[in-house]
Amino acid sequence: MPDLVTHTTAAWVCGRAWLPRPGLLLLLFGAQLPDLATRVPAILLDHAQARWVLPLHTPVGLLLLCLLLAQAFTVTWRRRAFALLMAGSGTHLLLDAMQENLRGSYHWFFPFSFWNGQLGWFAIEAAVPTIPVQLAVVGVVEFMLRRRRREP
Amino acid sequence: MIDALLWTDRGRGVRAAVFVAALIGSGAYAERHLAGREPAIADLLGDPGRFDGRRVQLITHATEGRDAFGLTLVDGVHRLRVDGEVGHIADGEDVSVEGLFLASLDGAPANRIVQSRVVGHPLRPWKKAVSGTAFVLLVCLMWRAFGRREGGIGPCRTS
Repeated sequence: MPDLVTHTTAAWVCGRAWLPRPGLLLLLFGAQLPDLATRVPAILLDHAQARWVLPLHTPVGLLLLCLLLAQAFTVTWRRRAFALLMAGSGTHLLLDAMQENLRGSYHWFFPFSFWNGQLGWFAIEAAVPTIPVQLAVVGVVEFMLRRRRREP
Repeated sequence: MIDALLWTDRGRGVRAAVFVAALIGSGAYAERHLAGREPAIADLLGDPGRFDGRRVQLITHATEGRDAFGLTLVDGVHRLRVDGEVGHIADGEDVSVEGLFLASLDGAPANRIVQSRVVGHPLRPWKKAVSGTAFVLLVCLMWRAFGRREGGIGPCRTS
């Protein structure tokens, strides 16, 4: 997985221009969700125990998780919350599909198949050194957007 | 029809229970089918005979006790020795390993990985740190942006 800053930045790029703040935050949370649900248990427990949460890093598992989380929202926000969480999770899976390790850790077609292919375009920590650049780009774009909004 | 099934207030608790049950079921399914396909260290040590002579991949594990001939993988309370070239790995660095699991060697219990390829993850501590920071920051922003409303969570204001 790329780090959560990279996942969050990627989702921010996708949603900043057209989503109001609460919606954007849900999109960003969706982008962090797959790793929060699976990597944190893998770090705190062991890899065998963490297999129980592995489906939460697959499209079908995330669909169920986002449906579950959406139920916590008010009726006017429920459908929107689901769509935004799912879209954020989608950007996460897309980025993860591009990385390379000794074997893929993501089962894209679970529960129908345990195939865990990866595109192998970059190493799993390749994005970490680029974080200052990512944050700088976000900062500059955010500054410009706010400034443009303030102009008459 | 789908509206009534997924998004209305009616039956919300039942829906949530169904989703939780489906998630638990999918977890059980993954646990049952992946223990044999992608064994973790606990599986290798729990039933060494089953995996003897099999090539395994162990992804992103902590390590300890690196020496000239290999290192030890750490996974929770489990430890597994890896024999191989680890000159490029720093002491305590997280690694991914591919190699042959040997349950026994010359009749004696071995429980180790041999003929290994060890890939280091030197930036993993940084990755954990920045990821943790990103999560905490997002939770703070969401805490400010959302609140409890009648019927569930909703935005404090729409901007």
